[in-house]
Amino acid sequence: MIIKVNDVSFKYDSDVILENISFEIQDKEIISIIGPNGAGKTTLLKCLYKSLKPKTGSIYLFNKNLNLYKQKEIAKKIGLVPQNSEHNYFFTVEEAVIMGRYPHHKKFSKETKEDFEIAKRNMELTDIYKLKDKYITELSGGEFQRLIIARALTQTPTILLFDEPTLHLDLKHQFELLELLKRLVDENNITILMVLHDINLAVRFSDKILILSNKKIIAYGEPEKILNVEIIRNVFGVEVEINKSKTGILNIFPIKAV
Amino acid sequence: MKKIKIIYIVSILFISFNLIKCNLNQNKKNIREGKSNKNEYPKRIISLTTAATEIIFELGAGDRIVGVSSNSNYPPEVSKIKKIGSSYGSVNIEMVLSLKPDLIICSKSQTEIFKEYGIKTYGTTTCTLNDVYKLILEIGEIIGKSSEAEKIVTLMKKRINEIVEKQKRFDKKPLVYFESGKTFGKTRGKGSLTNDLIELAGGKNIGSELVGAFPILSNEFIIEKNPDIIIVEEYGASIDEIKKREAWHKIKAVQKNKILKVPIYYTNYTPRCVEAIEAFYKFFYEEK
Amino acid sequence: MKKNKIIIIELLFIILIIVFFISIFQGYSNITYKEVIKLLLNKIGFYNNANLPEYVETIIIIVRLPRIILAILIGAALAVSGCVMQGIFRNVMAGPYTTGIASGASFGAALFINFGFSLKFVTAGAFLFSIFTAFFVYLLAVKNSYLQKERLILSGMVISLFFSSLVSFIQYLSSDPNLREIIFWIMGGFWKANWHSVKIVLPIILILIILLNTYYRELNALLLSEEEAKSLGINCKKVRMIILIFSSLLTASAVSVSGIIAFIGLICPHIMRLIIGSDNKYLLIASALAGSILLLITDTLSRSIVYPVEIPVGILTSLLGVPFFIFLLKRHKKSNQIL
Repeated sequence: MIIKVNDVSFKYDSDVILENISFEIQDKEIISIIGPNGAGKTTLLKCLYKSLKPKTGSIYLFNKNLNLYKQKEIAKKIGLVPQNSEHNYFFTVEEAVIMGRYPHHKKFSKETKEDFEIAKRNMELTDIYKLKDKYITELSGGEFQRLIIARALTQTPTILLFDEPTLHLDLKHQFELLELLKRLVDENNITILMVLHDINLAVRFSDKILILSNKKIIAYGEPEKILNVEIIRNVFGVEVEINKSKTGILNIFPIKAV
Repeated sequence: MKKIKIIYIVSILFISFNLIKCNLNQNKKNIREGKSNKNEYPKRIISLTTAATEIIFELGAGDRIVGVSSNSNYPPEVSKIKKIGSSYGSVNIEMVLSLKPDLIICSKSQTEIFKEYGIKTYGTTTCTLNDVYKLILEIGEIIGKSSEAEKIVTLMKKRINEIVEKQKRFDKKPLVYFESGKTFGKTRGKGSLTNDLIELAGGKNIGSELVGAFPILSNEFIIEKNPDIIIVEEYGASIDEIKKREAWHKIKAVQKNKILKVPIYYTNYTPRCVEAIEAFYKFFYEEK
Repeated sequence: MKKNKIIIIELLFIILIIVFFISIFQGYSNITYKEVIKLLLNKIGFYNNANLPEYVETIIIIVRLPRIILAILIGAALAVSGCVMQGIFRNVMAGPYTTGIASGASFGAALFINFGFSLKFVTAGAFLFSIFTAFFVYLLAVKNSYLQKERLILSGMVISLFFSSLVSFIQYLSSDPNLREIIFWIMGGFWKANWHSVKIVLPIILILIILLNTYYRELNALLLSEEEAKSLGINCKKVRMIILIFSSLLTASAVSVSGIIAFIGLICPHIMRLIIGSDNKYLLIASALAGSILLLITDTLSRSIVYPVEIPVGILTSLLGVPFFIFLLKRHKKSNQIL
């Protein structure tokens, strides 16, 4: 068990964002968090890497309370690929990716050959190594996205958090990305937790789905077991048809809004 | 990168070590080629204030001056002397040292710098008429012209006394507004030479009611005081401009056309300031 | 690519050495190149048969050298301080004086000048009030024990205005000589440079610059969004505070010795960013070298263009720096709000 969230709630001033959130994540899993806008998905992610502190409850990372971790230690274990990232800086791709090694260094140590090797490997993995000397201002949206992933991977984390990774990508790149993620989990022993807005992609590429709505967890488990027409109607306000394709993949087909 | 860093650091350490070493030897070194006898009076003087320059010439030692401030213009002989800088702001130290001075007359704060080079300094802090006497006497003492200095001061006091006696006869003192430079309302107050000059000439300076030697008066204040006399410096506003100022036609001085333009040297800390007192008295009481 | 950046830094270093020698040859006194070289070699330990007239030593070692060294140090200090301020605030317009230190220093200097204190006390007074101002500005900017960037810039502006008006008030009360002295102090310049100032300022500035260099990772990460910096393990609050303190100390040291010299801290980091990139691993050193070079050139120009007048350094820095920056900006077409 890698992450355990125990009865967590979060308030921003008097606004309750999350209430009684409890779930567990095992290793080598891909978990998608889905839910309508404003449900608290990003807030939940922020709690997981200690950017926000829950008002009640606790989060355990590798059986140790998150509160006892220093930010740097968390960064060695958890990598984040956020929704938006600033790219108006004159960093080269390589310089931006090597930032992933920062948590592994103390004050007076320098980046080593191994660090650059790790960065190189991850850049090759995300197919941006050929761009390594280009300034990040010259990258396309998709290339920049892959750079952020490469950087997160360079942290050599055990867990990767993604906040809407497919937002700015076209269909082909969406699939390429998610297939890459699946490979990462299989080959590199990484656990992935991602917030997705596309239910079908979530279903297709995740081991488990967590449905977050109205501050609470509505359901959590394998897609086939927890998804049905009522839940989707209640949570998303859409009438759908759930089919299985010829290849056995679950497919959710929206019919009309209710 | 590492190689360069090492060379960089080592060379900096090396150079700094040696430079600090040589500084320790320089501290008290006498820079003059040929030291001057303590009993001799300064022969190569640099004067960075126009007042001191004028005074030294007045004392008959003008030929000993080797450097003056950039804005020196009196007496005419200064045009032949090298210009060095000024008593406020900066001075070209290399020029100073190249002249091999044995006395520098400058502002109080500048004395610190020149002391580092082992040059004798005299810092001026003149504000009032008494300070002017002091300046003349002290400079006279330093350059060995004490008796001449005393003569000058005595003559000044005699001339001033004549005026004071004359103006004592009048009960009613005219109200005077003195405008310095180009700034509207900038005047001289208590503790300034100008104030002393005005009062000794028999006038009442409206600026003396405020705090400080260089106060700035508001338009309302000046109009309310309704001065009988306006004195303005030569580089300030013209008499016509003053007459045209908003609401100033109410002021007595404007109505009676009692506006006097004066040269800058009137209020400088030199023996010539006596001319100011004499001119002021004439303008206050004798001219119509 | 990395090699290129290192070459640029080496080049800057060489330029600095060249400018150093040009500056040391420059001056009113007629001292030949040979004499200067002989003297310097003598001082380092070689060439003991120097036989040079006394005034050569005085001019070079007491008049020119401390001034040159001070210009180098202060140029570096202002540039590095400006660079990190731009990084922390993620703001193109940030510079070493953003936290109101300039006005605090002016006030301290004006106050002590008005009371007739000697130069050493004026320097100390300027330093004291710089630190006090910076502290005051932080206090104003902290809300719920959280230092917000926007509040810091705002409170910096407010405190600046406050102290500026105090300075005006002191100027109003001062005698003419003191007034001129205050104005001249504020304009900034090196004509009063001496070994005493160098000895005080050298260790402080060198140590602070080296320290700030070790924070290049944090500075890089802080350029990203708050969330990304945190996910990379940076304690944003703590790091910002530390860097602010170091930067303030750096600026305060520079300002209390040389007055308010504008543009160096703002322009040099920007220029170097366009040449060497935003990675603070190289940018900090490059900015420091650029600052030293620019300030040394302008100071040497200021004392040698017209004799005996010394053109205030701040005027020359803007005359030189701004057009160069515009030129670079035009060459680099993609440039809006870039750090």
